[in-house]
Amino acid sequence: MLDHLEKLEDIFRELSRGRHLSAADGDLFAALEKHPDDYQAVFKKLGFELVCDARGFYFFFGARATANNVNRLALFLYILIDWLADNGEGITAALAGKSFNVDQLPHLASERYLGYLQHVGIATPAELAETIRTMENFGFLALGGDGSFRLLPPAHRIVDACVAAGLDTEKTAEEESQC
Amino acid sequence: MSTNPQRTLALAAEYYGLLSDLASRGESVSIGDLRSLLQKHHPDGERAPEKVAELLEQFGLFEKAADSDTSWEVPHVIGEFLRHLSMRQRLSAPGLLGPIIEEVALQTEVLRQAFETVDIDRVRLASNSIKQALEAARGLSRGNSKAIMNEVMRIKTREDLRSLQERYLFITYLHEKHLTPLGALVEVGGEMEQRANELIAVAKLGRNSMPDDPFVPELTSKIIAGVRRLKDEAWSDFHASLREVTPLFRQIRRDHRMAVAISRQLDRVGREGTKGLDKVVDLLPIARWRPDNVFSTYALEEYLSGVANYVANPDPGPLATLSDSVAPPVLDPDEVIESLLAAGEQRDLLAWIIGTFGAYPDQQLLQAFHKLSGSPGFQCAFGDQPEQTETETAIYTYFPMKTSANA
Repeated sequence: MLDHLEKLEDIFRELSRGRHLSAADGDLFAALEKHPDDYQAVFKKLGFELVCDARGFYFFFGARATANNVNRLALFLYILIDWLADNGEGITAALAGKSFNVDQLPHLASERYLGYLQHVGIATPAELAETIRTMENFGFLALGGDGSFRLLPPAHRIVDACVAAGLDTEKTAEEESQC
Repeated sequence: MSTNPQRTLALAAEYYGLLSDLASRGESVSIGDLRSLLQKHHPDGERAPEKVAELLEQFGLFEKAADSDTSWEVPHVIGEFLRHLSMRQRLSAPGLLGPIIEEVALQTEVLRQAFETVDIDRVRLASNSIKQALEAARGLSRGNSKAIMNEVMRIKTREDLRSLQERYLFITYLHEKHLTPLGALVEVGGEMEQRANELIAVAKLGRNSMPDDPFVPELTSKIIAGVRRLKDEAWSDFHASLREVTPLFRQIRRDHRMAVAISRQLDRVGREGTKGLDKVVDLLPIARWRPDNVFSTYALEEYLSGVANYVANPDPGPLATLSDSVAPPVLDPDEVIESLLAAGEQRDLLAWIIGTFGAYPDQQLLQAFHKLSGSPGFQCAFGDQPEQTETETAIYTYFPMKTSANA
């Protein structure tokens, strides 16, 4: 019954430890792309919700147990995008795989950004590098061999959360002002 | 100012780089600035900066700046000419096309009256005004279209050096102040088409009312051709601009929304610390499942409590005699298969097993279920809605398995 679902074990292992699978994951992503509905049905029986995002990535919606330190990952990406916007760079282009050199990141080079990062315990290049590695483990970016990285499609999920949180806050403020 | 067009053009050609540079910057230059520019564009030039300024001013390529007698700038008309030559047109103020089309409408009425009164002099005068207005409208449309392309290219190559916010404001201005009103003018049924149709009708009327005049047929043919050319070119310019601007506008607008949301989020973190990220974290659950997650906290507590009460060597108590023990009944798997074949297709295999063989212990019922669900003799498929079935010792919640025997 499950014979046609290739690499089922590998896919389950990666997804269940929080990885977002995109084209950068090669065979695993290709297998999911062949029978997304079947994988979804099988994982549902096991109690996992496989989300297929139209922008080209898959992940388990973390309803049971979720990762810690998500705020670190979010803040890392938000600072990167804020810096890109200030410098006139396109955000869509950045999310579509623009390459960044780790040594030239703005995170630790600006007092303002350092102020944000101190709230989540990032103050040194080593702590920043650890955050980047965590993001890689979750499939949000791909590290290159030359000290560079590029964002992968799942990074959209982190941006979506920010936009949705902003809308939520605006709605709450609106409701409070009406009361 | 000298009126020697050939010499003016020759001088413009000689100092083209310098003039073009200044025209694109739109700034005035002092003698010091001019010296630097000459070193850049004419390193081997023999004329002194003062002499160059004097010469360019003499031929109308320079004029004194409004606020200083010791600095010069490129006159607007020369700047436009240079930009036209280098295909680097600038955007004209929005809404300029509207008054030109109004002028065409006004002159159309004058032409109509001239045809009605058979006044050939007024016909020629109105025709000339109309031709000029049509040419002005065509030039404006083409120039603006090229200017828009230039701006789009500058944005795409990041030559505009704008921040995302500035770029968003600019592209919104381009879209709302230039393209939207232009679309209303040039689209089918728009102001331009109405005016063009009126003019063509008047020209045809004139051709019929003054058929014997030697000039009217040629004049009216030229007007009709001019109107059609303007209509076609303005429409195609507009759509070419729209094709370039619309996707870029959408992308920049999307980027801008993201940047605004992120900027506000960072601001919240600055004010509230990690608490400012709580909503984001709630909206971004990342699965982190390990096998130990299968134990709920409650079950784990019970288990650990059991471990705490563990006694290494409990008192074995009295030995049981053979007569005391009751051997549990054994469910024969072959009997289960035969019964299922006889019973036919089942919507819920587990419920059927429990219902049919309920006297047996749960362990054996589950073993039978496992054996049947993996048996090649049956086709099995899970249902979508969970079911609940009760035995003497447990309540089971599960997705029912539909079963039918293979033919």
